[in-house]
Amino acid sequence: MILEKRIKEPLFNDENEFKLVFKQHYQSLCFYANQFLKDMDSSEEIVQNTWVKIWEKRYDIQIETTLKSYLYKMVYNASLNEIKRQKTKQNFEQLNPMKEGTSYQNNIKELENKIEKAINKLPEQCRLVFKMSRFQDLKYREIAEVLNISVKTVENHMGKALKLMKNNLTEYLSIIILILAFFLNPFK
Amino acid sequence: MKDEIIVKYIVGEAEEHEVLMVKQWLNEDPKHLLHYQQLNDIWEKSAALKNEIEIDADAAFDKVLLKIKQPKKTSFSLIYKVAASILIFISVASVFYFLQPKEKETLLTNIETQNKTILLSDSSKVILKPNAQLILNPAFGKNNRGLELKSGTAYFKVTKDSKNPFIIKCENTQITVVGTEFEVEKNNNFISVFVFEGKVKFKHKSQEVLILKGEQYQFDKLSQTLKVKSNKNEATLFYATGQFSFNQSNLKQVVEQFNEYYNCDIKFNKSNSHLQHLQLTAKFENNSLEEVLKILELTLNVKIEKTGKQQFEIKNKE
Repeated sequence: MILEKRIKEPLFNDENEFKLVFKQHYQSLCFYANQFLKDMDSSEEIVQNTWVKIWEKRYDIQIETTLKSYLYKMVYNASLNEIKRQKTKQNFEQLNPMKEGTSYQNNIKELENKIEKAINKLPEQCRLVFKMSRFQDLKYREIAEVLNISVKTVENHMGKALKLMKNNLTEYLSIIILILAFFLNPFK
Repeated sequence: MKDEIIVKYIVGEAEEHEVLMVKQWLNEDPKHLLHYQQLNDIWEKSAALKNEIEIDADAAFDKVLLKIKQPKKTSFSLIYKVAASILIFISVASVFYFLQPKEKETLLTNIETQNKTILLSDSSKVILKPNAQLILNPAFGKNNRGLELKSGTAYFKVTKDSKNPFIIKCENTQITVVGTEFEVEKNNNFISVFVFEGKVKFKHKSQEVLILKGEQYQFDKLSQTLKVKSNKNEATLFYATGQFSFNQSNLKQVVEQFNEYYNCDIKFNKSNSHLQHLQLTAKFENNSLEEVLKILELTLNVKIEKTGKQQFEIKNKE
């Protein structure tokens, strides 16, 4: 009897390939974790541990959509677990839900400042979806995979997010656009 | 018009029929345009909020490596041995290389209006879109798998050979492959690589990225940078993969794609032209034209008649 041995292809052939992909995603993943943990050091630690797991499982990982959505899903779950751990440890120490991750921008212009506030006012899931699309450059189907929701739900959240922000910002949206809209219609 | 669809259009996630819908809607009323402009403005402006602080990824990677294992220690004597043997190899190889008579490059151009499939000598497959130009290295074959995409779009299905990578030059960028399927598009503004299966290395000078399944990267000629792109729709690769995916697509668009892939001519009966607007949601994978037409007939409840060689007509069912 012959035993068939399946040789699987690893995700990375060597450390160089591993490093390339690591560098492509590391920073963005840290900012993503920081959204939940609001602490850059523990965010970095979580992301590094995620990569250790990825390396260890490089022969077994089955990518459904993209590696990117796989990575974000791992970091998302690890972040939520970390929050749970911290909460039980600190016995429900007051967490400020409105406070977002530290902003590193020093000279945010007024409109951008307003936009940031408008983002923070969005309902939780809606805000998360918007940020993943805008700041992590994830596709709709990648977001859907990470959060375990349907692409349709992602579409709804995105539509809602921009609409709510628009209602919130109407008075700040530059008047120039109003004028330009009528004279420079690019679709005519 | 629902905000979801406008936002899909702004973000770059809209499908072809949705793009058309939005464009039409925008032309209907200046109020629509204003609404769109405001949503778009929020989307564009919010990009500036992206955290741009640099995190030291190299230092972080070293930490990860430490956790994985102790770094390997290579003795110097071994390095010298390896270096010496490489040096000898290079000098011997270069003697052979320079002694070889110079052969001419092969230029392949698709002058037809249809896609053209080319089988290379290493049994890799290339599909050239119309006007695409490819240059094969003089000795392209078993030991040299180098070629250049001069212009246009090409889809590559590369035969696996880990010892001999498949290297595509595209202007000043380089794409290195072991065995995989992907599409390269070159135009005046950018060079784009979309990976359908496997992985590909995309390089410009010291910038290098590894592109994995489902990902797309673009080299922007103006800024000379490699960037991730997120709006490639896999459905546009049907010409190479034989996989069609329709989500509430108009029958008219469905038929256009079939005509291109199966090289046939499906028309709508003149008095039944309303059938063009029927919507289809379906997936096809490597089906024959006959199978595909049968499925259309059954799901959309229409009649498809053969009117000539590779010619068909869609009409109402009696």
